[in-house]
Amino acid sequence: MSHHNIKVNDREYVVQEAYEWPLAVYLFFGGLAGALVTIGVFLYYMGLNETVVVVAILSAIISMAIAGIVLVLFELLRPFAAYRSLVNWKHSGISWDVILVSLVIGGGLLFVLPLLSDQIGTLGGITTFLSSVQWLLGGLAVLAGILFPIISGGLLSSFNSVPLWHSPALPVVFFLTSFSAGFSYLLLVSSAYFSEGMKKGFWGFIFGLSLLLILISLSYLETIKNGPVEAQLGLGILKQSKPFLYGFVLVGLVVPAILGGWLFFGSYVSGIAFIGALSVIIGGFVLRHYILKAGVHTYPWPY
Amino acid sequence: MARYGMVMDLRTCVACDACSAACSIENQTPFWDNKFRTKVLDIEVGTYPEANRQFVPTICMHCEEPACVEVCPSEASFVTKDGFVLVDYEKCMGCRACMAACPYDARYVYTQENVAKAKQLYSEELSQHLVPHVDKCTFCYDRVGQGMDPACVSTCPEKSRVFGDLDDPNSEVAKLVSAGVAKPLRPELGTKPKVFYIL
Amino acid sequence: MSTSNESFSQHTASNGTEWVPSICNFCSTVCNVKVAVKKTSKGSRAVKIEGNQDSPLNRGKACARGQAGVYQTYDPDRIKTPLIRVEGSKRGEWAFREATWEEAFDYISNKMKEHDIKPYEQALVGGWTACVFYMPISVSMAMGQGIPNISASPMQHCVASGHLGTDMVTGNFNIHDEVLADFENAKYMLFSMTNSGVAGISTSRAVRFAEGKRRGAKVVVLDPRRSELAAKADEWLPIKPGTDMAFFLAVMHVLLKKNLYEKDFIVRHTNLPHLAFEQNGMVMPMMEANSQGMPEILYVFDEISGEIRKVPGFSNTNMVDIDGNKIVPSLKTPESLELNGMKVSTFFELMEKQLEQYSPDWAEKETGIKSTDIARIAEEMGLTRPVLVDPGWHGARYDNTIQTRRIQAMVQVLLGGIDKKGGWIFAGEYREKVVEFWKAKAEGKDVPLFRKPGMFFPLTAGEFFFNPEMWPNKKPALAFAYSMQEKQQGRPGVLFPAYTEYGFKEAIEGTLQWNGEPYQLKALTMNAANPVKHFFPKDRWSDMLSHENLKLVTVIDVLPSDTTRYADVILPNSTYIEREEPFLFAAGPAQDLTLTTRFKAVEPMYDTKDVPDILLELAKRNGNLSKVMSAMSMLSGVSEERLQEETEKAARGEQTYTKALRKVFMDHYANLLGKSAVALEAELREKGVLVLEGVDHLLDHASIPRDLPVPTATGRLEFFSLYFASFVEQSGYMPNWDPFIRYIKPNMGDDVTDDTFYFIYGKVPLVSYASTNANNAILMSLAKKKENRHINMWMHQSRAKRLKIDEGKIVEITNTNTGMKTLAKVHLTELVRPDTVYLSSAFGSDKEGQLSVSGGVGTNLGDLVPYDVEPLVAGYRSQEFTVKVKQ
Repeated sequence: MSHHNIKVNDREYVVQEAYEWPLAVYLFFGGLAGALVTIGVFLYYMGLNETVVVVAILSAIISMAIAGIVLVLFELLRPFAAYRSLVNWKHSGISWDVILVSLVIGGGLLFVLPLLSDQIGTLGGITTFLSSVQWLLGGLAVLAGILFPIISGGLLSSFNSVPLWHSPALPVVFFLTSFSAGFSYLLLVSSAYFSEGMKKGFWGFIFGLSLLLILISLSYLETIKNGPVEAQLGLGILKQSKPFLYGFVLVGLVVPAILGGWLFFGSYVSGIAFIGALSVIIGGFVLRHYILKAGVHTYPWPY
Repeated sequence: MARYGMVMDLRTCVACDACSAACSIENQTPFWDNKFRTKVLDIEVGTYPEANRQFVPTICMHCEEPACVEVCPSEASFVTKDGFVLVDYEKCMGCRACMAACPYDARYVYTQENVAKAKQLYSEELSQHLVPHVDKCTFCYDRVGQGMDPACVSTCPEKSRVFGDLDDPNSEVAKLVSAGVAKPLRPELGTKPKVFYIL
Repeated sequence: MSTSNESFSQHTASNGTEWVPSICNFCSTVCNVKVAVKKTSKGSRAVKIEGNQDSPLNRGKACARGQAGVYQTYDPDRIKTPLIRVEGSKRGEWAFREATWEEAFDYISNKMKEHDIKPYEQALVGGWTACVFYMPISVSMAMGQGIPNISASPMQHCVASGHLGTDMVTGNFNIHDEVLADFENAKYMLFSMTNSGVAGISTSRAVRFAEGKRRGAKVVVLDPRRSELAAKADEWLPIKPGTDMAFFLAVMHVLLKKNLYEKDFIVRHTNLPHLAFEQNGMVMPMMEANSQGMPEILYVFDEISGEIRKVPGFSNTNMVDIDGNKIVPSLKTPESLELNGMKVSTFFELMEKQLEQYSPDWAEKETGIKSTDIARIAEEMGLTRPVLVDPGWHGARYDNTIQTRRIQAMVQVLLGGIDKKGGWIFAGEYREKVVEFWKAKAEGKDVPLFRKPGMFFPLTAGEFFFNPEMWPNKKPALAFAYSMQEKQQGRPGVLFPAYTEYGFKEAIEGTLQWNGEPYQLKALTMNAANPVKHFFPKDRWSDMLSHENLKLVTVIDVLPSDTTRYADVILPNSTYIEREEPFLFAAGPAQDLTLTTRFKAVEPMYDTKDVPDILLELAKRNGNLSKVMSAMSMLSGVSEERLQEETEKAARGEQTYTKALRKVFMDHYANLLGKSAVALEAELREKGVLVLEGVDHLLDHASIPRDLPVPTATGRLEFFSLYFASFVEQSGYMPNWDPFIRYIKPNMGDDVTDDTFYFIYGKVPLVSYASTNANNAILMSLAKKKENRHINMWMHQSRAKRLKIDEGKIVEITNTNTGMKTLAKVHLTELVRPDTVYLSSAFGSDKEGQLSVSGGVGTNLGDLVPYDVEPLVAGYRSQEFTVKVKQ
């Protein structure tokens, strides 16, 4: 691992090397899981088919587990010291991330267990107990699910050392992309369980989230243009990355907005829905990956 | 209790890199992997015949509000009562949040491979880095505890580095800082660095 | 936020160590250092090196090289046992077998017998350490065994080819003849053709330079590129390469025109008020000479009496005539003053006349520096005190380098800054020799060769080495023989080729003759020398070493350099922290009078030996040990009886030769200091370096020339060099030894447009010119971090753009004079003159060589610089050409 430097007017700028692709995977799956748990719990209380709820929440738990494993295996120098991630919970955004992950997994699991009592039995009355506090478990999981993308985006945006990240837009963008990915995921895996009206409703959400995302992205772009040179360099990296331009700008922003609008307002074509949903998911990951890649540090050397 | 700080005198630094060499030997940092706790930048400015080179020694600023410590989930990064910002190698799980948070490029990863090479180079017995961790300047915590200056300060031929207690009004660093001769870099970041530069 | 952590503790290198005093071996600054040693279950290990706080030389500081030196001992590429070239292989192939010391010594003895190699058919080749640390043993080996041939690499690169010019004015010339100038007390500093000597880096100078700068001194640097030193300048003057002499001549021109010189000082202590006359366009001193041509009576025009007065031919002052009357010599004489029927005037007046042509306007055309800037700088220097013209490090480069350094010294003298705070202060060691010499002289005695101060040393040594009568086989140094042969064939030859490799090639190839007999070179003993890398061009030495006429090549070194593989037998040397030295030294050119030596910090890692134990064993096997010891006694002035006694013990295996010599020299110095050897050794062990007398005290009573004459021919600081004048008499006139003042235009051609450039090289702080230090992993890592600046070839952006060359591209460089070619990686920058390209020197080693870290790094200057030596001391004209660059 060596510093990747950019030279402008004889000044060298350093591209961050602390966070690489495993973290993008973590951020993406974590956000997706948070959204899935949240949507799942809401669907449950809306009285929807329990199977969909179970699929959503179990998918979230698996996603979270993947996120956690990726985090542990690829990011940490010493995986066995991972428990130490909770020590400084008062201050550390990472500690909070870990707490939220635990709440999503734990809350989601306990929430979903009573729904599985047909398959697994009452586990000696445990599920009966759980169903009595199910609203509390669901509430915690939802809270954690909503907060996770916001807090993890907030963690990056708290680093004033990296001006591209140092923006309130980042938590919002992470939140929006997580939830549109959540809806898209459900549209992909449990399409059969939804009525067309329901699906159109989902696409309504995705359409709305996409428009908001475009709006925020544009204003973010505007602030960077007048922002520090390091942020502009970061933007330069993004502009020069074809995978970012196609993978996020086209596939993650433009396509979901157009297809979302079509599917919400127009006739519902499942092939197009498939493409749309897949686009959202790809865009969500590409966005995170390249935001990390474009993290150019500002080092305050006097020349 | 002391509040240790350093002044970098850019008027006299000739970028001889004595500091980088001294530091990496004192602290067994992975020079073979291009990693140094303190570096001297050689920045070209202007056009011929006015073009010049600006030599800028960089190091951990041992901030009073260190972003790295704030963000560390494991309390591996900590501040001693004398203001040294340190990493407890045993406690560091290596999440690198501190590296991203540091606005001064002061940290790097001492990898498993680095640990292995260090053991080979310095012998198991004398190796200072036994587990992988995020590594950074310690202001030569150990040397200062024995009454010595940090290795970089002690060897700098041009005395371009001055070390001392910022709370001791008679110390050279305190005088240079209070007189406004030596200034912190980017104070608006709010980290309150304890390394000051004379431009 | 987490604060405090009671359980946390760490032990870094400097904790729990024993500190052993030593001397850095990474460059000839010879800083005093301390080696930190830790005990481990596998024995002691050196873990850190720091500057010695008690050193008046480097004041507790060590540069990156000094710090990184600790790794040399643990370098896996080291030569670990004696090696003998495998039968049937060729030199240069690196086909060696491990051997015992006994086998290796036998191999050498057998080869000497087999080929019946006579002493004069041998040469000793030494790197700078052989000169600085082992001169007593190197020269004794030569003189004691009748070997008249020594090549010492500092001579053609630095000492003779640069300093000699300075020394012709000040009389200085010693092991550390370079002056450790008093930068810290100067208010104005001017530097020319140097980076290595201060920021590039010589720690003893850097500490003082930085202090001076902090105190507000103005710094002006002449350099075609922004070196590390030039980066610290208040004014950087990117002078046209090779024309610094013109700049200094114009400075003198202005100083004289504006009367901005220290009149009282030059009247008293220089030969400027001496009367001289012009004959056939040459300036000559008016004097009565002795049989050797040296002055007995000189003449001045006394202001008080208005008459010509006689002053002693040799004195530090002009203020007393030979009858003991006080006089005030005048710099100016009345119109048509005559003496012995000749029109006479002072050297001062003749200098004014000579300098008339060297105006700032003239210099602007030569140097490319605006005349107004030259005039202003000269005036600033004239009006500021103390002001310092750095004497410079490294010579060679141009035909005019020696004379440039000489003119620089004259400027310094005009400004009164000789042996004075803020100016040039002579080394404690040199001053002691001067004091001793005049004391002995007053008592009608002489001093041993190594105690001869300044110019008396090389001149006496030269007389010895160049005089066939001094040698058992009546053969002078072959460099001298070759010079004679060249002259007979109508070529200039080299006037004073002391300690050079001049003629080695011809002597090996069999074309050298002396008195009609062949004068062959058949065996070389090389100590820490790397001529294949450091001498020009590269092929010259590899061809010489590969030649079949050369019957035996013995190499002593720590690491296998580019030269080592051309050996027949390799004898591994212990590193500087593994050995104690046989001798005691001064702390380099420290201004204080000092004494220092090395102590062994760790036991040798491998089957290695110290230099005395190698060389004296060879002498013993040749049956010459006793003769070598006699020579050493004669040269150094230590007790012969003790030397013989102790080395005989060593010969019987009762102690090492190193120990034997160490004992005798320790006793010798202890005796001089009036203490016991045990006490002296203990004191040295504790402090590493002893200050015997401080510089302030020394300047009070032994200032040169205020209290003592300088070792020139007249005892005065000489603007007209009588030594150079004697060279003219002896060998005819060449501008290289013009005794007075004459510009030598660099001869490179002025076509530096399009793809053609001037070529310069220089030193960077991470590189040491010492034989194999480039193989240091930590230095290489630091250098590669800034590869563009430290390793690549600098080229100005505008020119590169026109040639369509991009940053980091490999280009071919061709010497336009010789067609020699090599490759370099390009660094585009604004930091160099557009008409000049720059490379760092001495970087890396041969890609095919045995050094794993430095192999193949950088560009070898030896591929570009031809064998082209100037005629005075065979200094390399290593920049006197242009290059073509193409992608």
